[in-house]
Amino acid sequence: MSHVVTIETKLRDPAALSAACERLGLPEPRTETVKFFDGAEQSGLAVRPPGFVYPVLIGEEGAVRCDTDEGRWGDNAFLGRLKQAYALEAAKLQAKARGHRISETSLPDGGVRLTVTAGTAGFGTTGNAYGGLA
Amino acid sequence: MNPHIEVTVTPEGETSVETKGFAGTVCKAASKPYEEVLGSKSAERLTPEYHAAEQVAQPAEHRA
Repeated sequence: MSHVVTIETKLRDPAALSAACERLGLPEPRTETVKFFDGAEQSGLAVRPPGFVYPVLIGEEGAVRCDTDEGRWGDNAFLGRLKQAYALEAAKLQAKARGHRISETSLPDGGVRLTVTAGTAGFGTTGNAYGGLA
Repeated sequence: MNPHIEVTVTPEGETSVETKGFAGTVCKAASKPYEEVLGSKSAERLTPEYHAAEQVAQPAEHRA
């Protein structure tokens, strides 16, 4: 073991967001302009979970607007599940682009662990190989 | 232990990236592409193994 980095998940890559929606059984996110309850109009990629009054809107640099009115207009826990699915799919896309092998393990607490190995080629150079936003 | 990277994501979407089995600072280069696509780094902890490997590696670099 050498180092541990904690990451604040940012939903910046549309490809990973699409894969996350597919993983969660949701429709493909589409670009929309949404007028929220407070009258504010915002544009971005709209994720529409079942039972939500307003979509979860992903704006520039992964900024998220999720208006659930403390659970009355949608499940407060959904955003965590979306971020989890996004992180897993973003890591998988990166591994695929770099030729790394990846295995997925479900954890007892609902978390998921990905194990990435590089084989004989090694982990190689830095940089974003698959073109997702860095 | 073969070098590998573990990406752990909680149900709340909090992510950690941990390198295992790497010698010295190469672990940072290996995990950086994954860190970049996942989001913004909020904390980093270097383990004793990281520093131990660095101390072993330094004399070899001076001879080169």
